[in-house]
Amino acid sequence: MAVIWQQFLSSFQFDSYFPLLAEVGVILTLMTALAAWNYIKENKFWYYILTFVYLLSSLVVILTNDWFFFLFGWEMVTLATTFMLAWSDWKLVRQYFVIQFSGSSILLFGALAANAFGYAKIGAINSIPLQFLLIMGIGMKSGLFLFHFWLPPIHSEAPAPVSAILSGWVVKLGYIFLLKIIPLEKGNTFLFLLGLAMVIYAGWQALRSADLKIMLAYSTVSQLGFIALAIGTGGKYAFYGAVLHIIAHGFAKTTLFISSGIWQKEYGSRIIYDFKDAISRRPVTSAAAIMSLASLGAVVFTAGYKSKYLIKSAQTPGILVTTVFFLLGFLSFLYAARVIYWIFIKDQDYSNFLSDLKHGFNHYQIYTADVLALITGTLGIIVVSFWPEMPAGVLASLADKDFHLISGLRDSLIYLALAAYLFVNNNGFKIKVRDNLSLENYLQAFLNFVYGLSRKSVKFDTEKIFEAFFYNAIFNASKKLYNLVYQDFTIQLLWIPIFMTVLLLWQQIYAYF
Amino acid sequence: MSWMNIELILLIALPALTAVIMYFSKYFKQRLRNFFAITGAGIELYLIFSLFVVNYEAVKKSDFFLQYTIGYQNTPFVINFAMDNLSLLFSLIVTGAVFLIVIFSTQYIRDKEHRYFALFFLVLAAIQGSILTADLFTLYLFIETITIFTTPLISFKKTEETTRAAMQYLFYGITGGIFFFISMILIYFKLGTLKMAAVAESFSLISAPMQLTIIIFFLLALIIKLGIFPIHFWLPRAHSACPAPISALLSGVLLKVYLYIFMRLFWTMISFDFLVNLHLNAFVLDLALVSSLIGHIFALQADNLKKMLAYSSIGHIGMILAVLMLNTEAAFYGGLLHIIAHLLMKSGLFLSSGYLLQRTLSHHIDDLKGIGHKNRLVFIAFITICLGTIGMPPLIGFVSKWYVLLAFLKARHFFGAFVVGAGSIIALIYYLRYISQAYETVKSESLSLKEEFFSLREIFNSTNIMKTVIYIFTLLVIFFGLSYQLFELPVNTAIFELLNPQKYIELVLGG
Repeated sequence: MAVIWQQFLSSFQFDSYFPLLAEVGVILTLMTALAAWNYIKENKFWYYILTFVYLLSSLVVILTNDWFFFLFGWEMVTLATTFMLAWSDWKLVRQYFVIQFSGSSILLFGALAANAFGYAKIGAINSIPLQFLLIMGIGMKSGLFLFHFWLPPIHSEAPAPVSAILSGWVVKLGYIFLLKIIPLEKGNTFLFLLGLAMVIYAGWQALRSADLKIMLAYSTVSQLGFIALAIGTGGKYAFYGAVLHIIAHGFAKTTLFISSGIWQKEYGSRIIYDFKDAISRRPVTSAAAIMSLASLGAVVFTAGYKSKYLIKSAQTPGILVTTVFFLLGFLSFLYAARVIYWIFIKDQDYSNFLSDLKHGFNHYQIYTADVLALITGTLGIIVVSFWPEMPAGVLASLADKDFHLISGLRDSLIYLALAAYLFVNNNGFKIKVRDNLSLENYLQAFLNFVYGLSRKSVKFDTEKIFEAFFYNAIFNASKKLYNLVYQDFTIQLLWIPIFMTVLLLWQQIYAYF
Repeated sequence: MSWMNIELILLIALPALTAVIMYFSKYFKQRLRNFFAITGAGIELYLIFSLFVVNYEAVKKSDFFLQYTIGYQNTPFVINFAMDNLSLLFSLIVTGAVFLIVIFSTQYIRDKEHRYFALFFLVLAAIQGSILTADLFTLYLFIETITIFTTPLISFKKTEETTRAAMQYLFYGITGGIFFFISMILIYFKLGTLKMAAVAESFSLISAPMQLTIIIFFLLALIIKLGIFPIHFWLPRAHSACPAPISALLSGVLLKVYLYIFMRLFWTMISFDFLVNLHLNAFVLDLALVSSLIGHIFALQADNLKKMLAYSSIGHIGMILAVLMLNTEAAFYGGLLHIIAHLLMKSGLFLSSGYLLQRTLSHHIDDLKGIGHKNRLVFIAFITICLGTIGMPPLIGFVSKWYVLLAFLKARHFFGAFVVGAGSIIALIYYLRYISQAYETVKSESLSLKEEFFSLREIFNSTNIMKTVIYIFTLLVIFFGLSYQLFELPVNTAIFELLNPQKYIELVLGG
């Protein structure tokens, strides 16, 4: 007993930027705990127990260098966050758990393969196939491109504090792991390309969604793309950029999901166009949200600008890189600015008395805990934006780094002008609200596509199509196999002599092959 | 350490004596009968545990050995018992699990208890005997005893279904026994002795075709007993027809005993090199892996809760057998750890399913609606153990899955690693199917933080002994998951025995 405890403690590593990331994780978890105090009404006790378990195990994941404790901690994170989804819907618990468990099976396979091939501790891995296996392993858990399909539906359906945890920190754990295993000098081209695809695709999807939480979830995928791209690039500044972006995006996204929860309670809706005049109805929330959105959109002087600048500067300089990064930045800026545009709009319909009366009240009380959480998030963003070298000088070499603020200012102004032009002319990109995103709908679309290959598209009964696929299809297939093997009793008995003959003639059979 | 150790006889005689007492206990009051049953199993556990504690230093140095001989030394029909580290480990875990199962069955069985307990303790005596014995003839006797006394336990409820299952079980069991007997007779004709150590010493003197025949009949016998794929038909039916404690005994304990016999035969008595020379090890390995996969797939379509658990047993046993066939130290570590883990988890699952199914109409999945709400804590225990079997931390299933997977990858056997991973994903799907059915009707209640905290007291107010046993299994699964290194010493010394059969042979023959 004592031995495993010592092994556990000695596996902790407190070098380079990982303690900093662990501290940020603790702060973010405390923020969500504050926000949950009034948001979660039932079974509060269990919620906080789960949060505590999650906190401890996420620390283990970040700090340990032992494969066993790493996976142990990660499975505990999965388990804790899975049950947190129960405050929204048990259906989500099932779906999330199945997906996460498949992901962790691949990861377990990859980790043990690395272990068996001689990498006794978690550290830089030079073999490309092993890197690929591990990237695939975290792909499902951290929403890499093509494996991200589950992320928007689940992150948007979860209760707001849980979305904040999931989007703000849980998905980052995979990238923190990649920071450890991808060698600093070389990077990984495959990861770079995945990241690029994620930024573009998810950014476009975020622009296309009218639901705030879905937009935030897609923007998570898009920003994770920047991190993947940075790690894939390789080099000191790219890695620092990734670390900074993990922290900056963590604070921004946690704050945004908490504010989305507050707005949802306030307006009874999640659609962006309904948050009219939010700036005067919920001033603190809106201020924090604007701050975070500015960071997401990489406006100059904010945290997001610093990290994105670092990532950009690590690329080989050239006109192509400059253009591509200018456009990528514009995409992020556009979907962030759209929310800000709508919370300033005031054209409320006050024509009848009732709606006027309704407007007079705050639907959702202002709680100190919420405000505290939002202020913490804002402070975090400010700290990152003005002291990128971080408290205690973890990223000390960033203190003297020139961030080219003038060119940043120029870019931001161009973005602003373009965005203003686009919004005014396109009515703020008001888009029809899409149907609820859910894995069932994805499945239906997929089945429609397959079915539609042969005939006209039909409407499936999607009520339980997830179950229908996972259960009935698989069960019927296994039932067929079962019926094949289970004939009547005499045929069952025949197996014994057949098997005996095979064994007796095994030498000959073996020689034959 | 004298070589005449009467404790070994006591270990077998005590359950047999308890069985006799239990048979005449129909004139006792219920309380007295339960007292006797629990005391009998308790003393047995105490004996084994004190053997372990007293000889702790010897176990640590891996020179622990006890033996006892009855009969005339120089005739072939001498009865010989021996205990080394491997048998000590198995004896310990088996008795521990059986002790808990006995406590459970004192409350669960409400009819003809005297017969039930008499048969149960006879089975326990035979299990101890087959773990401790050092010669083939006694081993054969004990295996047959196990088969014969478990048959009436399977058909304990006396319906058409259970009787059919029991007849099938008996048929397959006897067939397996006959194959075992053929091998034994062949060995006796060739070597003139049935002492395992003596056979081990001179097995290479037998001509090659005869060696092949002997090995194949042994393999066939044990494959039938273990329920490996082509001959697994009896297993799910038998394991689901019987009362829940017996399912736990068969699936949780008895299959491990057969695995022990497998190890004894193919590592101690017949050296593993013979299997390698005949190219049989790769065949059995692949067969076991296929069996594991098939077991998990069949568990998917099982509409009966206990049948599903039985199929999942096939999956796990196939995996353990496969990892043992790798014949490396890492493989033995993973295999033995998974034996312990599966013993705890499957016993716990069968017992809790027995508790949950007490008041349902049938064992069919459609009749399980809402049992999760009616027996909240028991069902949470059930879910916890299910999570253990698919390998979630902090449960012991994760640790054992880790080491099994590591062993496969170290041996570069990727099909094996695939089967372990795929098996646990399939297991997740079939467990979820039952769990979601159990929570079909949703009930919500809002409690304040304080009320909730006080509602935790219901765990401690539980007066039902059956529930307590299930909670103990759950807590053990969690506890050993966190402190699995408790097993490091016994498992490592048991591996030492497997890798150095020479020590066992010398000590038995030297006595």
